[in-house]
Amino acid sequence: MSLLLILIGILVAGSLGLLLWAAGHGSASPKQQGINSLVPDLNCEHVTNLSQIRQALDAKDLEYISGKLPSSKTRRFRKERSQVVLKYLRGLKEDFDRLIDTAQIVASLSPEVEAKEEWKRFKLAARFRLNYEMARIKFTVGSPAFPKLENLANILTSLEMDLERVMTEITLSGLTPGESGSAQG
Amino acid sequence: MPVLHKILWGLNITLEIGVPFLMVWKKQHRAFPAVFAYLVLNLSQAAAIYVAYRWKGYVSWPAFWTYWISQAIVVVARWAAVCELCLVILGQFKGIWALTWRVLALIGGGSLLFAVGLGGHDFLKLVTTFDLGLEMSMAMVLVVFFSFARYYKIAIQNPLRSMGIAFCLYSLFRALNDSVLQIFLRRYTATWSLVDEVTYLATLILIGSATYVLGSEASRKVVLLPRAAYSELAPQISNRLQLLNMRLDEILRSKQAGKT
Repeated sequence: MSLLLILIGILVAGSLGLLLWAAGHGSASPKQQGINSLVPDLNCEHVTNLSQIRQALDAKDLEYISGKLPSSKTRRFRKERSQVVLKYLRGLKEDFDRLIDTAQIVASLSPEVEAKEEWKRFKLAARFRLNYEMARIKFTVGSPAFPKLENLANILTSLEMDLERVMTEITLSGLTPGESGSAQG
Repeated sequence: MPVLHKILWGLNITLEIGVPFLMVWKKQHRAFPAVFAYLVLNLSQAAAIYVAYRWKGYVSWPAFWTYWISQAIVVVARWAAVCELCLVILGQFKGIWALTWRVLALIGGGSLLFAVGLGGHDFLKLVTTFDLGLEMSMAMVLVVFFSFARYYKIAIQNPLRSMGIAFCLYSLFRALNDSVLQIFLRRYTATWSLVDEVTYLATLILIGSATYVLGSEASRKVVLLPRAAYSELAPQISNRLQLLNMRLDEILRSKQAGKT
């Protein structure tokens, strides 16, 4: 079999897979309801649970429990704590995805975009996803250092506030698009 | 000509006549002039090939040249139809369209050069290689286009999506078919022709049904945001992402992570 046929075959198979992924989703995006509907999406639901999570993972609690309970129960307690953190991390990722989605929609509805800026965001988001997966694997083994997670949550909260502020400014200036969506000629 | 070929030929001709008529009836020929021109040119090609086969025989040089010269015209027309489709879907999103068309032009040109570079250099192979290159570049452009649309959360109307998928699948299968033809040449001609007819039939069915549905769907107008929104937000988001990545890096490097 020739090299050309093998290469074209791989290329065609890859393209079919990519086409299925890219064109396969038929659901309407938030953009169909207009940019106004994006504002409630900016709420970082999971970041707001930070204080409860912090309380649940207090190191003193673990020390106290370790002293009072047998080691098997302490292990179970630690495992449950680890699961709580993993759930929280997953929540942070959801908040991050929501904010990134909003950023993409803002870019798509802008009359001008910077190729450099788009490429930079694409790379950074890809790196975040990769880092997140690695962190998730690492935390699956045991419970994490909580202060580091707090840093992540703070960055997400301030990003949410920035986005919200810009959206409010747009709404107040009366320039908010009433309707948007895909075009048909 | 075998019976299966005759049936497929008949079905193709029926749809090649029917779909442009449907476009005129639904008044879509004004909205999609390049798609309409492509369908009409394809019908003309079928007529030209039929005449060549009838007068000079199925396996003859005049038939060969009639096919490939008309094919060059039809492929260029299909390229125009693909560009038109991309423009109709993304054209109103001025900012990302300006970015997308440049990327698509690069990818289209790159794919064409890649395929032509890989192809053989003898006379017969060059014709099919060039065809293969054009098909490959069209398919790549559409795949990247759909990826862009998904990345930017652009809602594409289902009929337009079907049309894009139809063109993309047709180009992909034709590219594969052409590369097999390159190796087996005349021994594969009959099968190549059969595969081509089947894929084109499927394409026409998709375009026809898309045209039928499209007329009944109301068009939507995109209202863009003020320039300041992007220029203010984009750098801030990038900075925050950079910070997030730095923190995640710290967590990953931390000795405490993963320990109680």
